[in-house]
Amino acid sequence: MTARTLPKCAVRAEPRFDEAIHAPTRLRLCAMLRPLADADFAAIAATLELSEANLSKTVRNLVEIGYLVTSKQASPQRTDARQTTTVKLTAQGRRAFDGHLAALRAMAGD
Amino acid sequence: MESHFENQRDAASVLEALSTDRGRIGERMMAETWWAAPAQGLGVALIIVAPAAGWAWGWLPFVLSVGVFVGVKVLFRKRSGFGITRPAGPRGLWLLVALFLIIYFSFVISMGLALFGLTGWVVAVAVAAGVATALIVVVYDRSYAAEVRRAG
Repeated sequence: MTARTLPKCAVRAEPRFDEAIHAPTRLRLCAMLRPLADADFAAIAATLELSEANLSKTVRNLVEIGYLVTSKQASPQRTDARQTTTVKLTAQGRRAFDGHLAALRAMAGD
Repeated sequence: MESHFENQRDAASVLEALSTDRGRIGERMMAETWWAAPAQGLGVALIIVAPAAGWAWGWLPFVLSVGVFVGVKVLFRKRSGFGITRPAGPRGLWLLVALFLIIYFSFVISMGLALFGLTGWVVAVAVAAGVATALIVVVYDRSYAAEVRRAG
């Protein structure tokens, strides 16, 4: 598979390189959340094969700049008092990611 | 912008890595198809068979169907950890349109057959609609897995 499996027709955003999500973990997290309504913290960590500490730090940073929002719910799956964290891309985060993706595609000559 | 990458290949490799991550979303979704597709087929079959139950009991298959669909949504979310509310691309959208049309026309046919007291045929239409729904859900999940790789 090549990068051409991500065609430019999928995104009509103006190419705009965003330093805030250029770091690999941040970019992968945004790319994963973009087609989803939201995702559980544990599912993200498992899918991206990231440690909880690394993911937690990345999520916190992106929440601080307004690209992500998190919410916590009690989970019947857990036997302890800890809650399940759900992560969601904000409209600002979607715009930033779409622009960054368009910039990457332009650079890749896609 | 070019200073962020050594060359064009770097940007391409980043895009490929993102596509691989997206592929895992599709894999997690398809891992739930084996139970979600037949369950949703059952949910549709219950809607289509409802007219055969008559005015007095017609509501029961509807309520059961709603229970099946809510149960599928909750269980899928719990097992996959993902909230998926829209198709990833045009193929998925067309499959949803096809599914809606199948449900709509099956229900209309079922109503007509029930008016003539052809209960056996109503059940046959319901089974056919349920099987068609299950098959479309299987194809939809596969399409989603393919299209989510290139979704915006």
